[in-house]
Amino acid sequence: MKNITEKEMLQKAKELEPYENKWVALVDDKVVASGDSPQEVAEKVEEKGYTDVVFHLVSSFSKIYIFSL
Amino acid sequence: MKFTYEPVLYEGFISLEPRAPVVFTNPANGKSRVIKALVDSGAGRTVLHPSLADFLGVDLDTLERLPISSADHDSTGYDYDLKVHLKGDTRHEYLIPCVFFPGLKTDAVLGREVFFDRYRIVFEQYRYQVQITPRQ
Repeated sequence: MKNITEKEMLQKAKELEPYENKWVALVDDKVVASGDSPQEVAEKVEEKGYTDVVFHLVSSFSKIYIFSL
Repeated sequence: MKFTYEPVLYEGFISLEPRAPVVFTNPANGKSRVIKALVDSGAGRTVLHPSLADFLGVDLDTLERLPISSADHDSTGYDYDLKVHLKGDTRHEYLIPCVFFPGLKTDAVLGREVFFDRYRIVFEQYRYQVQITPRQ
C-alpha cells in the first residue's frame, strides 16, 4: 500500500460527494454503482458484470459520527 | 495488512475513519459480502446495518434480541454469529458474534469482541493508515 497524500485524500473525499447517504459498490476504490439499499446496488453490479466489489454506505456530510457502542 | 483511512466530508472539511474491507459470511448458507467496515476500538461488539441481514440471507425475525447501550441511549439489536475475514486473507477467518442494529448510521462497525482478540491493530491516523495483522 502506497502512502496517500493530503491532496489524494481530498480527491477521494470529493469522489464520494455525489453519494451522500447512498450505498455504493467500489472496485479499486472507485464507485461503479450506487443505490438506496445494498440489494439494489448488488443488482446493478451484477448487471455490469463486476464480481469483486466492496460495499459501503456513504455517511451524511452534515454530522460527525461517534460510533462506539 | 495496511489500509488507508477513509476521508469523510463534514461541512466542507474532512474527517478520517479507519476502515478495512472485510468479508462477512453467513455460516448457515455461505452467502458473503465485502463491506468497508469501520474499525472501532470503542465498540464492544461488531455491529451491522440491518439491510445487510437480507443481503446475507439472515431473517431478523428469527433472531434473539439483544439490549444495546450506546453513548446516549439504549436500544436493541439482533444477535447473530458471522464468519469474518479481511479481504485477501482467507487463511484467518473467525466466527464473530455480531449484532444487526436498526439504528446504525453506517454499514458495519468492527468491535472488540473476538476481532480485537484475534488481530493486532495499530491506528496511525497521522499516516492515514491502520494496520491489522493476525495474531501469531
